[in-house]
Amino acid sequence: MLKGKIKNLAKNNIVLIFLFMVIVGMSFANDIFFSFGNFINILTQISIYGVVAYGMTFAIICGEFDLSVSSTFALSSVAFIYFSNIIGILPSILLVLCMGALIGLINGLLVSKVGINAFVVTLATMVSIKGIALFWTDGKPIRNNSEIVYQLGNGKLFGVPYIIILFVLVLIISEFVLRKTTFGRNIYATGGNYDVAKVAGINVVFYKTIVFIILGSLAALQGTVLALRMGSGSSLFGGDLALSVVAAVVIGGTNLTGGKGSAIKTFLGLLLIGVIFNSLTLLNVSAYYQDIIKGSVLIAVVSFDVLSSMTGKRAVERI
Amino acid sequence: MDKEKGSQKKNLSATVNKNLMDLVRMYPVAIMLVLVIIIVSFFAENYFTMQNALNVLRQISVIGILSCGMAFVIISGGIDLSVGAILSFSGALIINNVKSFSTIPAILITLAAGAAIGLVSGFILSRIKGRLGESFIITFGMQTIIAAITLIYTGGIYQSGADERLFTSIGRGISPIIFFIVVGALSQFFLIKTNFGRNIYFIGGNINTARLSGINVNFYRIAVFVLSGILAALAGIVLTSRVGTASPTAGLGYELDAIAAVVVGGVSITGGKGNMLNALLGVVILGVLSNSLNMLNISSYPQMIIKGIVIILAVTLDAWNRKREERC
Repeated sequence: MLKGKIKNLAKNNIVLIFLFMVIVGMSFANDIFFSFGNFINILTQISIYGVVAYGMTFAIICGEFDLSVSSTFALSSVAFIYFSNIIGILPSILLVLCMGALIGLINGLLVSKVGINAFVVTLATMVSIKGIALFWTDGKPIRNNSEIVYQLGNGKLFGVPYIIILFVLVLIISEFVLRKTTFGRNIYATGGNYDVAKVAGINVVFYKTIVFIILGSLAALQGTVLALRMGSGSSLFGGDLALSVVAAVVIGGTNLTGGKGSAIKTFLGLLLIGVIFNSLTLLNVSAYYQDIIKGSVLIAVVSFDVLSSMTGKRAVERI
Repeated sequence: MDKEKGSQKKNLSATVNKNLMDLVRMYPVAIMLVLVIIIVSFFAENYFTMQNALNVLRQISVIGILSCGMAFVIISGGIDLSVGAILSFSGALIINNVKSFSTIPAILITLAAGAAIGLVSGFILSRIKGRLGESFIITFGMQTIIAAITLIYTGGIYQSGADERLFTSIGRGISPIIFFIVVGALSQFFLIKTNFGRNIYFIGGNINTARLSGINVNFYRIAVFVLSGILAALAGIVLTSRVGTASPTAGLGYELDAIAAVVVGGVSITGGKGNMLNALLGVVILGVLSNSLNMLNISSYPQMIIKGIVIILAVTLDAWNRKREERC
């Protein structure tokens, strides 16, 4: 009985256990690892993509999926810098957020109304939006050298950079919305069983559309944040965003089939990836080998997750 | 005996009818293709020539070969994101092996490497009984790993210097086109005319029913990925021979191009529907489109915008057709 309980506990918290092991191991192996500075460093590294990962969590829980975030991210960085030079910073942030929401709306309507597979829709919009960003800047980065931009992107509050505060804030809001509101529960319901949710009177089309709008807006927000941080916008930003973010969500334990998962899980997935990469860099492992490890971890976690859930009833369902 | 023959005849006419219906469904896209060709031929010189047609075919042959493998995987209900990385890897592999052995063993080694990578993906997926979502993640992991291995293997620099005649002739003149057509024809044959192909449709359509009717589901799941790996390696060989050098990132993004082409050709991404000829029509459409825009002196960035819109148009028309069919 107790053995079974421990086994279950281990199964449910596999990411946490793995994370703990890496942190303890690295604390002994490396002096720099266990320090405030390094943790801020890790969080800074994961926070830019991390906020988009929360958006992706919404989409995946709803049974959908978005490849176009990487292009939205790049286009937003370009658009923000371009407009901030003309109409000022705050209006251009609002403009870029609206643009992200609009892109999300287009994706969402094509998926929910027209009924095309999300993978296909967002593959196509990814190509088009990337084309717009490249065409706009002719592939070159554009700059805004003002002091305010630098301050917003690199400023700190009590030693914690603004971008980490944003990252934690979005985590809290996402977790609250998913757990405590009707809106969140309906997203789970829509992703868990589309037909049942529809029959139960949930406006499934609305929820399928809104998750894309959330995701598009968050991608636009983070494109702006990276532009603030770098003081420049480029059509080449975020090339690996979509798939990295999906990987983080999946490693955290949110299933691609929809209906399950949470923002906290995604946070743990992000943290695990961040800690592993930080450790490998501190241990002087080259970037190529880091990629091999990244791919292997992804495959291992997904395989383990599926295999461990294949007991009893689910094993019968999944032939 | 006679009765059997009669029912066979009925089946045949049913399939002919079905193929006709498929053709009708393809009409919007085919019409789009014809319109593009007619309009552009008014504006661009040297467009409506044999030379240019061969040019287009040469350009699409690599993506075409990739798309055949991709179509097998997608019809079986999976997806393979690792083919672009396999293409880069096999390019480096063929150059170095042609230099150290000769062409024939080098080709065999490269194809075997492609098959081995496909075998690994397929094996993992069959063990964890993965569907579309899992195959997406697992093959993305494989892509990351293979791309990194390619960079380590090549040291990140271009590989060149394989100038054996047999090897360079693979990519010269019309031979890529011949490879493309042969692979396409064989794929269509296997998919439509053999048990192998029918079982792939069955698995893609409903995997549980397929399993319960006694089909060795795991075998086919592995087989489609092995096939996709081999064809990706072949595409890598053809591309490398045509270009003469192998870039360690030559195949970057090719998997998405192949998926786009297959989907524009009306193969359903959720599996079980579509056929090879339609998929190859998708390849031709995107190839002709890109060639036409080149001929009109439209630079590559606006081309991307147009390409995305065309993909959406094609699949939207397809989705509407399907809805209308369901209503009938």
